[in-house]
Amino acid sequence: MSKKVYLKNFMVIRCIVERGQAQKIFKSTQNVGAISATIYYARGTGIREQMGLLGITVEAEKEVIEVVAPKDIAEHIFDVMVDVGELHLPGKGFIYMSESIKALTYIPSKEE
Amino acid sequence: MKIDISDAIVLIISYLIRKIKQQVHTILPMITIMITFQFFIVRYPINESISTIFYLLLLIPATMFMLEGIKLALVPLIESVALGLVKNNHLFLFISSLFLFGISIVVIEQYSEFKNIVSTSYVISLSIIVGIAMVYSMMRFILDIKFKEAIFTLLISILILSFIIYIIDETSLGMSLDSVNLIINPIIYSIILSFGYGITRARKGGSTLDMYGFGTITLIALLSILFTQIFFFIVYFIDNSHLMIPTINIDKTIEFINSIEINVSIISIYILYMLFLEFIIIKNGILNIRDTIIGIFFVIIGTTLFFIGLKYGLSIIADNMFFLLPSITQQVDIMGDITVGYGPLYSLSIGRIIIVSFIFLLGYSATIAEPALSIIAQHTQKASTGAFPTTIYIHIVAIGVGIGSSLGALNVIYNLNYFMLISIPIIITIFILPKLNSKIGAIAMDYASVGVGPITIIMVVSLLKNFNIELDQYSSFLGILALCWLYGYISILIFSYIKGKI
Repeated sequence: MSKKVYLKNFMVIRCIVERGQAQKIFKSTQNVGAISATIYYARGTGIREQMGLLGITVEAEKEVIEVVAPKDIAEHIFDVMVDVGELHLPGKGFIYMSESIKALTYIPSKEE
Repeated sequence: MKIDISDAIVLIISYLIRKIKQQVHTILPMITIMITFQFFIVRYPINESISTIFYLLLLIPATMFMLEGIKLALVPLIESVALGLVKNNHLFLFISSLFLFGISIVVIEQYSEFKNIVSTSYVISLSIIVGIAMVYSMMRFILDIKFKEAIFTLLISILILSFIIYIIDETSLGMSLDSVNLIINPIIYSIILSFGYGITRARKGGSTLDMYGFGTITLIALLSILFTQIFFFIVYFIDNSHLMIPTINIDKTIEFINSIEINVSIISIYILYMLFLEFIIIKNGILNIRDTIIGIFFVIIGTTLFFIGLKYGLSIIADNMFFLLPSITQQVDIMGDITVGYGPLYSLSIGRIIIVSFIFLLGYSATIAEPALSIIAQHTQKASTGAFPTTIYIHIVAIGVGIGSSLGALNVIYNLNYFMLISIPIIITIFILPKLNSKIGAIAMDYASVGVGPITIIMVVSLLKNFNIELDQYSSFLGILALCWLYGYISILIFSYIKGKI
């Protein structure tokens, strides 16, 4: 039976983008070391209601991409996500990174 | 919140690019196939006026406005109305609104049929049936009536009646099955789906995906066929000279597609009625006023542009292009200052293979361009929170429609047994449906039901009309839309079945 191995020094990157953009962003993170991601649908509210008529240009339907990555490559993955998602442009989305104190998943041993 | 002008421009441009790109993806395959046909198959220079091409391209912003308007205003408004009517126990208004909605769909789309006693009684009785079907289909979301059992009964009845009609008169069989294309305006699909979704939200304890407003479109389509077939018998036994002549036919459908004012007016009236229910009767006050106003404006603009694009763009281009279709296998006279003979370009057997393959590709690409499929995809995405593979389903339906239209062409060329062609997909559907996951059955069948819309109808009909001139069998293309629809059904049901097994 596999042992419980707790992972430390991990970062969680959460990126909220317009619906349909998540897959493209995730693929780009795979090229720089991200192993997997969780993508789910969400609905954004707040900003688009305060923007007047321009608010309709911001989609309420969002996709959230959650990537967990080792600390040493997390910064790079973060930057790639910003560039590919053009998150510095208005209405494109929001991204943030936070530290994971403790994580666990099944990790196959090297012999397997 | 204050936004810089430069940021506002970036927002607007990126919004427009994103939306236009989505619509170009849907319409591009059809335009590519048409251009390929013109330049590489019949090899005749295109001679369309700039205005006709402009009208054709209007379909891109039209669909963009329609989909955006539906998302911003129509879906939230109608869901809110349905939810409010059920939750506040406005049962009379709920039932009467649905009943009138069903009646109006038929009466307005078949207005030109009020000309003699037989056709008038057909339209009126069909409208009542559709009204009842609308109430029943929506009530099943509240009463939890199973979808599969109803569809099963309808399909078996249609199969039996089809066989009897086939023995009496083959043309009438095609016409009765073509009555499946009762709903032409894609916005109406959105109204039906949103209403169903609103009702399911009002139910306590949540609902499964199959109950999220799906199945109503299929039930109405099948009931329309069944009623049309029953009406055939009534007329046949009273006076067999009338046969199916007064009932729904493709020419009338094309006429309705070309009625821009009626299509825009009907949508405007439905929206006004929904606003009346929302703000005067229910007084929910939960809608985003900005989104509602802009969305309604988009829906009206989109519907107007869509039907203008169909009438002055697609119909004309399709007719002009497919006029040369017979030149593939025989000589066509091109009238001008001097009449010039053109063709035959290929040998008979090669030419026929080209025609059938081309019709398949055209049926496939026209289906992808249908806004109704994008509408149902948008709705499914919402109901399944993105879990449903909408793109695959659209392509599978399109393949089915392509197969159906090419079988229609084969039927014209080789005079196949039409009953065999329609009975195979019906029997396969009857066998597969009970084996399907209940969540998928209603959605899959709704996808196929909306797959044959105005774009497919214009393309297939204009193509086959020219095709028929060659063969001098004008009436034999009747039933082609039923083939498109039935093969759309089985392709998506077989796909869902296999997918469920994997």
